[in-house]
Amino acid sequence: MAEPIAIWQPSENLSPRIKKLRDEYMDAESRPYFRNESIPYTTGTPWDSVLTEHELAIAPDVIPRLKGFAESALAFAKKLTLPENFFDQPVIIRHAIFFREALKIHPTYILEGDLIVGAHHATLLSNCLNEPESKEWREKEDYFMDLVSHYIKTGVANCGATQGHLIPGHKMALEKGLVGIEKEATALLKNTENQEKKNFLNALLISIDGAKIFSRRYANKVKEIAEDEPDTERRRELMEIAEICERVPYYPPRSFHEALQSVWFTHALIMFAESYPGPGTSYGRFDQYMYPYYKKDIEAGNLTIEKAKELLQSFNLRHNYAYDAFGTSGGKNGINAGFGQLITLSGQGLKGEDLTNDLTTLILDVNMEMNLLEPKLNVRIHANTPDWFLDRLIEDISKTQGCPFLLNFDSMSIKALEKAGLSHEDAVDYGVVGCLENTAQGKDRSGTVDVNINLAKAVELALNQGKDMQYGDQIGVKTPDPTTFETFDAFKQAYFTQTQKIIQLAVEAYNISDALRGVYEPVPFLSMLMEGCMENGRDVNMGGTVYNFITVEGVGFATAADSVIAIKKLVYEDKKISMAELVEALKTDFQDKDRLRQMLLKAPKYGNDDDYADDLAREISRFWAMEVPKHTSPVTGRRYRAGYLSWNYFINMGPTTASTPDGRVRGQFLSNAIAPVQGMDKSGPTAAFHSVTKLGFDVIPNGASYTVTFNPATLRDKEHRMKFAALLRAYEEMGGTALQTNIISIDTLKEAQKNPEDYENLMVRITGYNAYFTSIGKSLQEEVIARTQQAL
Amino acid sequence: MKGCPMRCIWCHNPEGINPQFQIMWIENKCKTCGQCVENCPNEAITATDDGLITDPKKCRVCGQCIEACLYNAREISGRSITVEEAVNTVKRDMIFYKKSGGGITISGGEPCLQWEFTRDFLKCCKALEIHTALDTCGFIKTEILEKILDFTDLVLYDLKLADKSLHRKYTGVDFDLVVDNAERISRLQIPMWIRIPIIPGYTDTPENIRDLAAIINGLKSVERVALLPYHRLGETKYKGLGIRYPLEKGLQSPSKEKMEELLKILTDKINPSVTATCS
Repeated sequence: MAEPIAIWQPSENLSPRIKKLRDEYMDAESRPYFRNESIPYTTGTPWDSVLTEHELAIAPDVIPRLKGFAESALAFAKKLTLPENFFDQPVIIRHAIFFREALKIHPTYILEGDLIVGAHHATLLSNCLNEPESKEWREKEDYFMDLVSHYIKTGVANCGATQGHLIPGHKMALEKGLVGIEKEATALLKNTENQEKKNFLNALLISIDGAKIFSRRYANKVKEIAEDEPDTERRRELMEIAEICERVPYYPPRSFHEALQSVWFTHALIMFAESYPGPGTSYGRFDQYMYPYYKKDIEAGNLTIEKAKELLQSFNLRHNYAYDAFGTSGGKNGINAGFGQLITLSGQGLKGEDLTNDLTTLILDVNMEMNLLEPKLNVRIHANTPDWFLDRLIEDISKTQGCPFLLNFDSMSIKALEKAGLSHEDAVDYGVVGCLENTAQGKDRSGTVDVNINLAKAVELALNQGKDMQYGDQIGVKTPDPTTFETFDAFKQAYFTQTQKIIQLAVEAYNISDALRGVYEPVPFLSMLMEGCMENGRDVNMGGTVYNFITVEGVGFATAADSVIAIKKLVYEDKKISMAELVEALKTDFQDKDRLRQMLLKAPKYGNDDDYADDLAREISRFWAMEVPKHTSPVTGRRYRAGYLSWNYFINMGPTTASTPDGRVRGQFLSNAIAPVQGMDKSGPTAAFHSVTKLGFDVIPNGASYTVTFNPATLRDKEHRMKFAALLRAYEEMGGTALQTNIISIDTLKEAQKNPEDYENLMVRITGYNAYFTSIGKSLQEEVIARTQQAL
Repeated sequence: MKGCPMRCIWCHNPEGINPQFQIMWIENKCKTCGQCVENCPNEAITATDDGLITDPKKCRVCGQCIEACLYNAREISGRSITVEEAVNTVKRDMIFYKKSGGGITISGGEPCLQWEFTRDFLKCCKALEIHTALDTCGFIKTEILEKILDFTDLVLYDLKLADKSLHRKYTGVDFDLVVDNAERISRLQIPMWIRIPIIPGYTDTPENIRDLAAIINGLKSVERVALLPYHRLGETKYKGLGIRYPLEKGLQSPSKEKMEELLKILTDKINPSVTATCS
């Protein structure tokens, strides 16, 4: 029997209106009157497309359904009335016009009692191409999808230029309002003769027009509802909301309520423009840029804390409707829990000072009370994080099985971003995207989960002369027959050669999608929010903003490292296993080779503060991480950088990666991000922390996801919580970048598997994101259970 | 540290009693394939209905059964380590001691049995400014204990039974030396945390708690007293070592109510400056 623990629940103190709105959201089946399902819009041409496959190529589970999905979406698509000369316009102008015209007819819907409006934002917008462009696009798109499908089938990588995964310049948009951007664009337009720049600036102006039309349609709609509203208090409230919608996001907000409505409209319109309820469309340092509005209202007595809370709760709820659009097509491994509209909280300023404020804690309170998946919170920890704040965070962690937010650590995050090329100011002011990915705010297309490579696959290829063991395809470099490697270094060299090849394959494939998006899929509405695009006169998808990174996320790191370590130890040093015998055993998935497999399992493992294993792990980590930035996407000029995040790929790549020399059998999941192989970190949390930070994250600007499971007893009282705080402070000093915790016993998880109905609210950390445990697939549940439980 | 002068019948770390290396069999990992039986050069392992029993008299702890085991179901309890190796290991976690104000605890078995190692190890830790704690049963020659106490910041000290004849009966040793040593530590003003195991039917009487409290009240350096409820996690280890479990099978852990009742008795009796808890 599991010890009874109090599973994190929504607060009983939610106001009746918020409780009702929350219940309404959770009960998706019984709200047919409103679902944020994607509405497709078409130009009406027979060659049109409303769904771009490369945007979903990083979701391997959905790829087989994409073609059918695209066809039916097109069949149901609403035809927009477009100007006659539409197809004579440049592509970017067409996109802007299409965006504006869709916003003229897109449904406006106000949920009963709601305070932040603009609930429906999911779309599938036409790619706006003419016939010859469309033909070319289609050909390249098919070529790209075939290539990626092959890499997915063989477990090499997946990739694709994907929407979201960036932080728009919300602070700037709030301060200037779209009207400010409009003025600047108009002025620039007067001073330029360059036609491309002119097109770009005109596209911005059209997009601003679209946004203005949309928010004013909301103003009118709210007024209409207000007129029929019998309750005078609600009527007054609705009139106020209508007034707010008249202003924002076009004019700069004057109050906290206006600012919240403004950022929501901006956020929703980005997702609208990008044809997706954008995973990873993140806010950056929300508690910093929203604070002036909050403070002013509170100090002037125009806002009570209770009202601010309700506004934030309403705002929070909005984000969860992103799941509606994917309700029926979520993957088997809880894909539908991974939107990651992330808010960054706290952290340091330029002088190392702590920036926690009253709004930071209020947002944490709201999150605790709501018990929802979105928006996800990230808290930045640094050397000067006050004790009271850390203690409060740990208390929240202890009450919620560990998952209300994730933690990023400033010193190494900043160092690595600077090393990648960010200015000191931008690096210190970093925000976090999606799950845990560090990036510049409002000036980087980021693309943080756009390329995902399987580091363990390189082991398979090195042991099979570059051929996939299952299909025999020559994917990698034809390195020598492994039985001819006389030294460990010869094998290691082959491993590195294959690693380089995998990076190259993934990068070259991605470049195709990046170029396609750059040329054919501009997003002027998003571009106006990204610093530098206007001055450069270039779309954000064309590399127009200040920093232009593409992140390659390494999957299966510890599986790869432990495999190389086992070969070094058992084949070359102890000579207990011959290379021929090992390769044979891997090809037959250790059939009748139990003894050999057990020897491999007993080899030294990364994650135990054992330098023998960790030194090699570090070498492997740094090798690929430093290989990645040698690549640049030629058409957009975006540069690649390294990261560690495995989303669900460590599950998907399990069956497509041959058995590995660490003793893993084909089908078993790979290791998760930078965590040691599940169950192999047997020397306690401090040893595991040492191993992990030994890798050296200064070459991982994206940051490295580390999910640790602790036994609930770890946080049972103040004394233990203080130990946990010490662990976090040490992780900051040791050079960790991101940490996610699960505070749950294995018994409880097993109980929840058996009796899911009793554990509906139980959230767990998967990697950079959390999910309702009972709603994720069985294989992912098993992975969570297999993780080592640490205690302090 | 392996080896203990006491023979508490409720001991939950039986691998700590014997100072020698021992083979531990891990029942839940064992698939009873018999590889270990076949590979034992001393014929020390017998497959029985009750699992694979190693005869400690025949076993030479050569480790061949461990090599042979495919399922990690056998391991050696104990390993040799030099002071330098131990110090190097604890040094690695310096950052955690600094951040938490914590340090190291040397425990066992009874660390004072291998007193030279313990003294040297603690001395090195002190030199590195690492906080040191000694977890001891107190049954050790006072002059030896004192050599260790020179380098000890905190003593975790077990008191089990205040009744002398019961103490001898259930721990195998006299209580007097344990009390004398506690007083010695107290006079040296080294902070002490006292732990009392609550074993149903043995140590869980109100008068035992009251009598122990009276002794504790005479120890001025005591900061905390904790009541530790009996648990059955040691039972499988006895089986794994091929030793008979000395307590009656099926003895249950004390109830929460019982623990609270005893804690109340302790709290009522103990000096108010001392923190009393159940763990």
